[in-house]
Amino acid sequence: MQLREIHIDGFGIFANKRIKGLAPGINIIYGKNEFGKTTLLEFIRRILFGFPTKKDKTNLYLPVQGGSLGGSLKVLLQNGENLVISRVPGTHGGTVRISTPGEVLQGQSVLNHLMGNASKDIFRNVYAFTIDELHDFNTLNGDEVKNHIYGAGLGLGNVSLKEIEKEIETYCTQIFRPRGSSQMGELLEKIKINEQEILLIQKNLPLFDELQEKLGRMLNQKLTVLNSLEDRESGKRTLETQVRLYEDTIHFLEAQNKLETLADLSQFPENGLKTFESLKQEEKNLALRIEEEQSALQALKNNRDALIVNHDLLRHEESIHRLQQSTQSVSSALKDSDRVQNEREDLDFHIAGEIKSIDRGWNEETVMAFELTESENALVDGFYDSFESLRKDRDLYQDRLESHRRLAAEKMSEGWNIPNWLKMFHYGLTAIGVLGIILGGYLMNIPLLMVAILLMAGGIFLFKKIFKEKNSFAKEDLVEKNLACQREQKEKEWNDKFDEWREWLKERKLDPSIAPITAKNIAKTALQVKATIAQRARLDERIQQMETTCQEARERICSLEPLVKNVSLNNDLPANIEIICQAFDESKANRDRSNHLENQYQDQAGKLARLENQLENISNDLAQFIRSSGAKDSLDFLHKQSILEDQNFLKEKIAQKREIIQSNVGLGLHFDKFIKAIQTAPLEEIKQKLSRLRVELEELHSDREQLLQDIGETRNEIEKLSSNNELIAKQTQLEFLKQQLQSLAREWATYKGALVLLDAAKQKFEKTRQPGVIRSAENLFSQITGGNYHRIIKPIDQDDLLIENDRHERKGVLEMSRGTRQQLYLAMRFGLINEYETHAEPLPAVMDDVFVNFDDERDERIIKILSQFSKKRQVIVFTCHQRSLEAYKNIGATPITV
Amino acid sequence: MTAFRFIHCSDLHIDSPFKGLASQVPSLTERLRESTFQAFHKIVKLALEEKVDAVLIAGDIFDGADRSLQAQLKFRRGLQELSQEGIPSFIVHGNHDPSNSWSHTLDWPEGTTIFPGNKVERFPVMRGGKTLAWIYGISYPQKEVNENLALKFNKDQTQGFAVGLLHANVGQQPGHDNYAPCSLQDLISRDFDYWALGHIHEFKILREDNPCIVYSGNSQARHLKETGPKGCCLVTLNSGAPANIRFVATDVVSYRSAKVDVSGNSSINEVLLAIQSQVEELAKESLTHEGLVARLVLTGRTALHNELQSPGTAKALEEETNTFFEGHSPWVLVDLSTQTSGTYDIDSLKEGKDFIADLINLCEDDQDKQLERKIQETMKPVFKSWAGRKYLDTFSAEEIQAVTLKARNLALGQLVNRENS
Repeated sequence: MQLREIHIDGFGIFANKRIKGLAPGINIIYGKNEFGKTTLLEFIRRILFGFPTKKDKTNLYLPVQGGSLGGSLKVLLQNGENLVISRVPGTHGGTVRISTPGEVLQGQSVLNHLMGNASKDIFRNVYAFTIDELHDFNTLNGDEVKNHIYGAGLGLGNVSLKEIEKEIETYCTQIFRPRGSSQMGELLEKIKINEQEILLIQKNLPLFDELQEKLGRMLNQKLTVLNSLEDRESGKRTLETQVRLYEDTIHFLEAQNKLETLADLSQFPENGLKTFESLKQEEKNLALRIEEEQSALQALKNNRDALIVNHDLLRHEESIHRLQQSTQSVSSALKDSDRVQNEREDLDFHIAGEIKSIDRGWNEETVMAFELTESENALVDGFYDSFESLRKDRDLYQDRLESHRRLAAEKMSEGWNIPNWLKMFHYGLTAIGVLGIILGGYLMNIPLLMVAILLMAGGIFLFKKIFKEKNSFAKEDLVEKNLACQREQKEKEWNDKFDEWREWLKERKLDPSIAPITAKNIAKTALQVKATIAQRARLDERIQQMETTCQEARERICSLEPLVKNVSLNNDLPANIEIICQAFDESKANRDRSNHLENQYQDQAGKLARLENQLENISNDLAQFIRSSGAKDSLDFLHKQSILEDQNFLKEKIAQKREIIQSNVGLGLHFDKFIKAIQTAPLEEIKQKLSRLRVELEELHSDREQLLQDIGETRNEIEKLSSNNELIAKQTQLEFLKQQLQSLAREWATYKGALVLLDAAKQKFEKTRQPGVIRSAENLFSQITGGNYHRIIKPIDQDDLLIENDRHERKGVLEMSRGTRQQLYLAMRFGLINEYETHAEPLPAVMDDVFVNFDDERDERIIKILSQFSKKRQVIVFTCHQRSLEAYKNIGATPITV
Repeated sequence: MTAFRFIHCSDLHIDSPFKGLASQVPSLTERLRESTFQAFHKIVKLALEEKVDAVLIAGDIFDGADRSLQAQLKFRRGLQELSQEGIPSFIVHGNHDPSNSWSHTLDWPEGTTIFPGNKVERFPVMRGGKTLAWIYGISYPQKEVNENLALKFNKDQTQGFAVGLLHANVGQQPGHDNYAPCSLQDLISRDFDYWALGHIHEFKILREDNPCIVYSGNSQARHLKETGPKGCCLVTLNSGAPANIRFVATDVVSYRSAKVDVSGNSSINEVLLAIQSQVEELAKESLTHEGLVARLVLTGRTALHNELQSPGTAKALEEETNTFFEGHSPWVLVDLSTQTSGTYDIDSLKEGKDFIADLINLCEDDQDKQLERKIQETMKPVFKSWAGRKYLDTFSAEEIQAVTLKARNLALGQLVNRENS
């Protein structure tokens, strides 16, 4: 493939750029620095192999001067076909179109086919490279490139040995890896698990034996346990019977022992006790009755003796009757005495009071002696009337005088009779004075001022004088004088009459200060006092009578007092009378009752004597009966009787207990054995034995249960083991797995062997046959270096290149100079292109001016080599050096200026 | 003329798994497992049908290493059937089932005699109150018995037939452990009427008469290497007449190997058809069996080599075939492997001057076995240091050669075939 035209729609700095005239052989594109050679190189790469995307993080060369990204290349194929390859951006590197004269094709694969399936890597790294990329060995190190370096020479065509090795290695690792998962590893895991499972199942065999033995042992144990269970059950029953009947047996034994100790009483009457008791009861009843009767007799006697009869009192029966009769009068006398006495004292007091109200010097005799006649009464009335009329007259005058004085006083209150002119005069004087002072003060006229002061002082003095002597302006009152004289007259008349009244009073030995009306009243009072004194005299008489009655009664009581208890002379009379009467009545009743009791007492004594006789008879009968029974006395009889009863009771008890025991344990030997067992062991011991036995039994029962369960379980387990059919299944599985492992191991060995063979072949190949790439490059490199280095060696296992000189000295890449290294890489690229194109469409080689680091000698040689190289394919070189341009022109390069 | 009829069998290996099968068909696995027991059951049935006087079992009744309780229980079940019919059974332990590998608590049915391991004992077989024969025998007390047990047998009874029951390797037969080794002469010298032998898994009459010395072989093959019919011997000893020994096959599964040449096949489908027709042929030959396990190896130069080599292809073919024969009688289980090579011409290839030529020449010029050693070296991670190595058989010299060849074919297959494509 050769480029004919480059048309850039838009790419980096280029827009709508067309480069024409590209010819076969070397084309030298000349331009100054930064004219865009790298851009152009990249454009060619991308049109052929696609635009990168943003994801690729590389320069996208977006158009900076307009135009849309993309463009086309006009190419000529080896077969003479003309094509236009155009590309616009899009997915998967953009849309590529290949326009042939006949049709328009599309797609990268079509293009790839046209380019002899050269890969992007090959083109980018081998065909089209910048000066920077030339330096870099890594650009030759891509898998694709590397494989081509060797593969092309291995005689394997497109086959990549590496790929085959990689594939086989992958199989190997899939089958086996020392670590990590692999088919064999997984199988081994399965085998191990399987083996574990088998081991587990295989334990079934010893387990089966173990279980069988265990079962045998347990069956024996079961038998033993059942036997001892039976033994203990029967023992338990025996002990339980012992416990249950223990009390009965003990009673039985005790009764037997006791019976043996009791005396023989065969003589004693069978039913003696009944007779004995009836006699005894009778005797007892009698004795009790006698006792009762005696106490009744005693009670009668006591009652009789307790009765007190006052015979002395009974002898004063008549006197007591009288006293009884006087009771009413005495008590009324005593009741009235105080009231009458009080009445009399009241009268006394009243009399004295009345007398005192008349005059302090008066007494009862004075009163009795005072008496006013009718004339004297009229005289007193005359005095009274005169006094009354005189007093009225005097009061009349007095009233008149007072009213007159009031009127005069009212007149005085209206003010003083000072003449107006006088008032006006002293006011005027004063006013002038003041005016004069003001004027004088104003005018500062001392004389005027002085005059004015004098005038004012005169005014003030006049005012004072008038005020002081204002009363001198009043008049004299004659009416008042006349009225006062008349009142004095009447006063004197009243005094005279009064003296006359006093004189009368003195004659009558009355108080001279009393009024006539009072004198009349005294007379009335004296009359009343006289009546009261008469009343008092009647009361005194009555008091005398009452005292006599009481005295009589008192004398009688005095005579009876020694005979009656509780009578005191200090007591009031009626009480004493009552006491005496009561005592008398009581004595009289007691005397009657005493007589009655005495009769009863006599009857009781007789009855008692009869009863005592009866008792004696019965006692004799009893004594005779006791003696007949062989007892000494009644106590002995009773003792013997109780022994007899005990014997009977014991016999009955023994029989009863024996029956109970025998019904439980049987007769004869069993019974004796049982009794003996009870006799030898206390209850506590038996109970302890029993509880021990019960515990043992419980344990045995649970042992048996456990055993039965265990036996069942063991049988089940044995059954389970016997029916377990898994072992053979697992073993078969294991055999399968083992065989699979075996097969895999052999497969793996085959793959591994294949790798060994390939490696050995590779080594042999490396030794005996250098790849065509190396040989081709070797030739070029030798030419470039002027024969300094004639061999390039690529160790088959290393990513390194060695060069060898005539003296067989070798240098690695790192030891080479920069120029030599670049030359080596160039040679390698040319070698690779040569090799590659032996079986593929030649592609244009596009490169930077790569000669800048070469010395002139080598430069020349390279140009020559390039000239040779370009005979088979198109070469496009970018340069910015005029020197290079000329040099290329010299070898017939087509110059193109951008 | 009295006759003593009995069945002589050995190496029952009840419940012992089948070996060497890398593939399995779940529906057939159980049948395969049951085959050893079924074979024994056939023996029991034969004894009952033929109403024999006794059944003699010459050791290796099961694999002691399996420690299978089930095997012993199954065995006992068979003995019970014999016991119920009054047929006595006489048993010795072999190297695979020495005394110490048996359950000691299992109770054996009446009429079962298990010989002790410390000395040779004898027990009579009675008929009608008369002693028909004396069975002499000794068991293996443990797995390895290296002394000559035959010499311990001494005939001390003149009445009835004398039969020796022994598990031994007579005349150092190859392929079998040399336990209780003895010579044919040792046995002849004992003056017995019949030697019922066990240990060798192949029916062999070592001596026809006076005495008869017979290996009954195992009753059921358990390995692809165990070819030929498997069964037991129905023996009739006659006084004054030669013994009658009849081999009766008892195996229920037939093991067969065959090669299938696929060089003429141009497609996988054709290969499949070739496999099927081969299997059908084998199945026809195994009509008396319940099942057939066929190991097939694909051979020949074929363009399908690479395809057949690629992982999974053989497996797929195998599965396809097994599916195809599902429900077939006898049932079929195919185990498939490949030993094909590519169609390239080795002779012309090795004349080239390229990498392939180098590769072929390297293999052919490997006179000092350097290459094989290298291959063995690379195998060490698996066969020498890997934890699972104990499950792997070591390579024999032939196998190494085969692997090398296979490896070469593999590499060539890759290189040449890719080049062509």
